[in-house]
Amino acid sequence: MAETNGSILIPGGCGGLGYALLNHYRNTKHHCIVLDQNEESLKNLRTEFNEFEFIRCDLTDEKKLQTTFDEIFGKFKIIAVVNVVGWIHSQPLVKLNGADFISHSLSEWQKVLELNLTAPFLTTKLAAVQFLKRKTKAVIINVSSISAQGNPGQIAYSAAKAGLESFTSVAAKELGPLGIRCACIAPGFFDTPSTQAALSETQLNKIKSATPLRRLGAPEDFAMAVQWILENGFFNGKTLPLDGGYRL
Amino acid sequence: MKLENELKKIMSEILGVDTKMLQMEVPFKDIEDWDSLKAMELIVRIEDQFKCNFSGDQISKMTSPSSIEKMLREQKNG
Repeated sequence: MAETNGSILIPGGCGGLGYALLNHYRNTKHHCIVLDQNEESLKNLRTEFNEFEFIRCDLTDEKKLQTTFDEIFGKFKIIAVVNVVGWIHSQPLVKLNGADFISHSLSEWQKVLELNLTAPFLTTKLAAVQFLKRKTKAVIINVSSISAQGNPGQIAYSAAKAGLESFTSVAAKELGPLGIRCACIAPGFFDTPSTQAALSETQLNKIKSATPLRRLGAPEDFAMAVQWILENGFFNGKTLPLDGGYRL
Repeated sequence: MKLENELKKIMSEILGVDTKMLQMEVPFKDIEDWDSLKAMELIVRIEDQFKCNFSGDQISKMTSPSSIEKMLREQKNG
């Protein structure tokens, strides 16, 4: 048995997976605190989930994050951080443009790495310090993707998610002896607004057809995976695939 | 003696060596494979096992197993 009583910090929690967690944990013993940059989404979620905390914060700004973490950890007994921060971006390494070749934009590469790798790195390290200072046995869950295995057309996103899984493994080895577990969840295609917006009906049908369970992941499937990692005190350093068997 | 044995047991688990190989007076810096991660692990394990809290000042003075033993005895008596 592991971490069961306390608050859950959800950096980047304004998207579909963050919403799934808020829905799952409402009316439970767990309090949720969402950190996100998107003021409009924070406002909407604050109205819908008025029992939880919603704080605007740039997750790539170390100084501001440090101050925000000091305040949050001083006020709440945080027992878990679920990093759902990220940005899905598709762009091939090279593409044809008429008779010419265009290569992947460096600025887009950097932006993808900043949001999918640097941001969870910052929240992981800052949370680890807070947990150690407070001697809290805790868990940090980073949300990877099936793209970490290398998805054509998503070179930056795939690299960032692979990096995320790798640094989570290192963090688990370093922090495990100190009472902090780290793990990843690698979701496949989930029925969230961002998936619906990014993919056409034909694409979604192809995905369902290639998934042995013939459906997209439901938001609750993700929340249950998070809860399972929280409860299973021996799960550490690994990535839990959650894709309905899409990548078998 | 009991405290010394308990400390040695924790250290042997962290360092992966037999308790017989450990000497209380040998400074941590002279122990092969000793590093800051192992130092943190040792502090966490000791605080958990002996239900105590060390201050930053005390931690900085933990230079050998015997120095930790002394601090634990002081905490117990104080």
